[in-house]
Amino acid sequence: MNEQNVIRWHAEQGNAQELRQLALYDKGPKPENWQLSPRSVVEYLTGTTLEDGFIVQPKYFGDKRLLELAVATLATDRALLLTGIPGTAKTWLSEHIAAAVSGDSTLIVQGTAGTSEEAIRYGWNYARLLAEGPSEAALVPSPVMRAMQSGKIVRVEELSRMPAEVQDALITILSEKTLAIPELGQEVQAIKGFNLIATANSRDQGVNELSSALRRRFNTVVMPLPGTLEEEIHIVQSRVIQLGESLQLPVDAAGSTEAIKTLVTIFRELRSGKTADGKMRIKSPGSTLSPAEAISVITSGQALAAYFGNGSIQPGDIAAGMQGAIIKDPQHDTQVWKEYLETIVKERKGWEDYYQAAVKLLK
Amino acid sequence: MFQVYGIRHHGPGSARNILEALQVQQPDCILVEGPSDADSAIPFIGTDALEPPVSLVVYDPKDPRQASYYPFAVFSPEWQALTYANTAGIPARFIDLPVSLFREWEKQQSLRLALPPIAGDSPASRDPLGDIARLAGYEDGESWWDLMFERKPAPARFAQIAELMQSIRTELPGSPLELNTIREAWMREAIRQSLKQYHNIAVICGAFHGPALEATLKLPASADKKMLKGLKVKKMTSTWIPWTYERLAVESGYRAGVLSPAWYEWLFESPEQSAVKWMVSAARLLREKDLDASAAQVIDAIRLANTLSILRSHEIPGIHELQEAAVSVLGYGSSEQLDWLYRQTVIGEKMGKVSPRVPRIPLQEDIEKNIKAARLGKEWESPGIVEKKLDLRKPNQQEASILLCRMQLLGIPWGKMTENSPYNTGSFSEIWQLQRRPDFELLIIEAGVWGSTLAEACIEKTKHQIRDWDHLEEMSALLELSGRADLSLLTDILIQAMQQVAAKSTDIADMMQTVPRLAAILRYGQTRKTDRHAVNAILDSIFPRICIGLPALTAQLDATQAAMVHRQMLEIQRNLAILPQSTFAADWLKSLDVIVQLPAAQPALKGLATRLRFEQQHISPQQLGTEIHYAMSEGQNTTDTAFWIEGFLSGNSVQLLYQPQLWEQLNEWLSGLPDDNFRMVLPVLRRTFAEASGAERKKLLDAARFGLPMQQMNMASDRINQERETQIEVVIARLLGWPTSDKIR
Repeated sequence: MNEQNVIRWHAEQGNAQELRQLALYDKGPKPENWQLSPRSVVEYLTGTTLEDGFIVQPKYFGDKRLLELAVATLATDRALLLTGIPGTAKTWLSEHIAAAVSGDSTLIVQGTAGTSEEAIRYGWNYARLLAEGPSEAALVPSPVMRAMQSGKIVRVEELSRMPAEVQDALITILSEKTLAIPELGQEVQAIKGFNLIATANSRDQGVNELSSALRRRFNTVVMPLPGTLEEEIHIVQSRVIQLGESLQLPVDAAGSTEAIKTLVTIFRELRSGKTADGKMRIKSPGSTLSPAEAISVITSGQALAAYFGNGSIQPGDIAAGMQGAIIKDPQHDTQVWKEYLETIVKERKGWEDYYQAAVKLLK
Repeated sequence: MFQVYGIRHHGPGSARNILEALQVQQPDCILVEGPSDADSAIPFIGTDALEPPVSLVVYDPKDPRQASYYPFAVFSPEWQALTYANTAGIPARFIDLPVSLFREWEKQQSLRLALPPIAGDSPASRDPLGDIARLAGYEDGESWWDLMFERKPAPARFAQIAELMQSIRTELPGSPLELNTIREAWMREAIRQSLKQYHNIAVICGAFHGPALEATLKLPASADKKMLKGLKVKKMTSTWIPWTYERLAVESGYRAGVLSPAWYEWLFESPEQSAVKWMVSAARLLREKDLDASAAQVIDAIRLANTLSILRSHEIPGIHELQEAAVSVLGYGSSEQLDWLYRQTVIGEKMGKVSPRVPRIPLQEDIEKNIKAARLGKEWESPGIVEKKLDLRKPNQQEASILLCRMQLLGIPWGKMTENSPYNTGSFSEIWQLQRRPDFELLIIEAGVWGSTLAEACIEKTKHQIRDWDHLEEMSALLELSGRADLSLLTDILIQAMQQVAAKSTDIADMMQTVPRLAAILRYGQTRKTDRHAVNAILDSIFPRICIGLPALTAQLDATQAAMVHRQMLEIQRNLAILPQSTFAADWLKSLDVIVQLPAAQPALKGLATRLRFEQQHISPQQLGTEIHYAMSEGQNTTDTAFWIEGFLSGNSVQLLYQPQLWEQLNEWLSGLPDDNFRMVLPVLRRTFAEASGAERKKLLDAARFGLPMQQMNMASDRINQERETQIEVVIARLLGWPTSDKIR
């Protein structure tokens, strides 16, 4: 595989230099099998300037206390559960934490309705199983089992989407830190450094609530939406630039600042149900309108501008994406969006083009 | 010789350090930074007369509203030092500026505010500790100081603090605050005076003043004397009142307040185990609320707090780390659920005690003044029950009524308005039963925490009381009372609180109970125009929701609850006509329509809804007939039908006599019932008619025996005797005060 053509690097690949530099200046005590000390992990996430002037880019904008809580959790023997509404950087954060702590973010179990217990415990190579009977060679370890053996962090994505009985397979692993293999009369004991980061959506429908036994084994951190407009613009902008680079979109990133500001303002106003100055109440649509959605609207707008426009992003380029993100329930949300356009967007200075573009789409 | 100890007010570490330092020094006199005109209050400290948190109150006996408060908790260093003095039997004194001089200075200051700020008095000099804290990478001075000096007690800290403060004072840009200069001069003078008599003095003051007092003997006494010359001290009275941790917390705006009194108490009592004890007490509270908090979780939470504090390079976890760990482990990430826990375990709900032996407080004096003004002095002195009739049109009797209402608000049940008081019908007289109990004095002292005048105390106490209420009905009762107690400020607060509760309430039954109360306030209350607007706004917010939510509610009630809702529906119907909102009636009828059509709704309420719609002429007699027919049709469950009839007739069974159609339908249904079913519904039917008066029941019985009187009555109404009618008309016209001349034909 030609590494040049990879669409998206793993966190530990993309930020390999930062991790190396941090390790170089890391003086704090390291828990066994951790690549960095907890404080350096937090610094990797918040960004910092090292003694030699090397700049570590921030990965997460927001409350530092929250990151400290998350990293401290992993240093105890409890697992970490990141919850929150979609698009609050849960997966993003879990990937970067795993990369910084274990230097490996690839041990991952994707939770779906079809996830089976093998994905958490172990499976079998059936050809060998039939030929040789149960043996270590016929055993196919799960990412969880490999993490236990190597003392690394394993990530479980969308924990609440797994069937409840599969979730519960985690209980003994988390409390006893062992995984029994009765077929071989053996067990795997986790070595130090093993821990688990799970993410779960709190708003999705069709999720399986965690059993209280499992819940008790996690420290829960609820990921908030960005607190201020500036923070959110910053998040969207920096991600858009990164994505644009990896997609090699020939747009001038700075030119999209105005579009990002407008879009984030609209999303925040609709989300909170009031205008940014707090003077008017408006209705909220059922959609989540997270920063992640803003990012994808802007990126697709950039793609439109790059390939079909003049390279700089125009209101018309993001109007369609915006409408798609806001209107999830055709009846209710359309009404809300129309009202917002007529009462707020139409009146606001400098937003005339956005109004025209959006209204044209609605007709 | 004297020794200066710089402390932080209410610092638990400072308190422990002081105790140890005093043990070592064994002083023969203790001087404390506190108003020097309150020395008479010192002997109570550390005795069983006071149980902290309590507050020293210094006030002008001529004007008790101007009172200064100096709260103390068990972890206040000053409290511990004075307790030490009283236990060891050595003299103790306050050495700060007297309260009257503080006042004087503040008065001048407020006159001076209009002038531009003095050059060189840069904002940085206001918060030197904050600057240092920010340099060290902390958010504010409070948390930095807490971490450096309060979390782990060590007597050696006094020297470090003194050095730090000395350098702050020298480096500080601009001139020192004028007030501080005067205060320090006064304190130095006090130290010089004491030095004439004692030789091993301990001086306890806020850390910032430490260096200035340390230098007492190096600075010339004459300069201080010159500065203090001409200051006139007015005589003040001082006493103790109970205080609460809540008021001690910064939220309540006290200038040297603390963020977390309950936590500080743990920190003072057992600094080594404070984290464990705090977490255990939090877990116990959670368990009391039937929330998950196992011992294993507590251990995990403490471990997490410890790891966090190591990550943040703190020696032991502070309240932030503990709280974050508690939210993450015990609260499953949701801090909203743990808000009440914060109030109980971080701020604390402790209230101090003051024994009646301690002298009087401003509130006591203000209440007595009010009683005299309302001419109720005699009643206040008499121990038995006294009945008092008040005519609200006379000013001092109205004042008496206001006073009694305020006492009620304050939780002092002196007066009780008798049930049959005609107040509610809008007349001007009230009948009160007054009975003084010996424990009132104590209640007043306790209420002293809320304010120094009756009115202020009522407002503060009620504010505190309603802070997490979510029942509109109780609040509307208070609203009524506050109107009668003439507290427009409180009325505003209550209305605001009610608007907030109303905005998020989902308790339909509660909202229904509120409507008649609010209607009564609109109709009879002594409300201002603005209040009426606000009350109407609350009604606007809840009434449509009642109409929307009521049908669903009627589908999920048992018989007892249904009886309650039944009463409330009748109440609303009764009040609908007097409410100014014209749209309510239509909404209400619409809601009743839905109830009637809702299969799952309680049959009794369906019956009632049918009747109310008919009474409001929302449905025609024909439609009524159809609906009755539906309700009694054979497909229906017999018991349901019986309940339906109960709802339809209850409280108004005579209507059967005037609705021949209804009578016949009921008759038909009853006689068509099989024996078993009849026996089953009999109790319900009996209950339905049991409410009617004897005469009404007789009429119904007659009708059952001899047929309805209706037909004859109808015929009679066609043949009214014109002559007799005119005669009656004249009488009625006179009664109503109409001009009678043109009425007489």
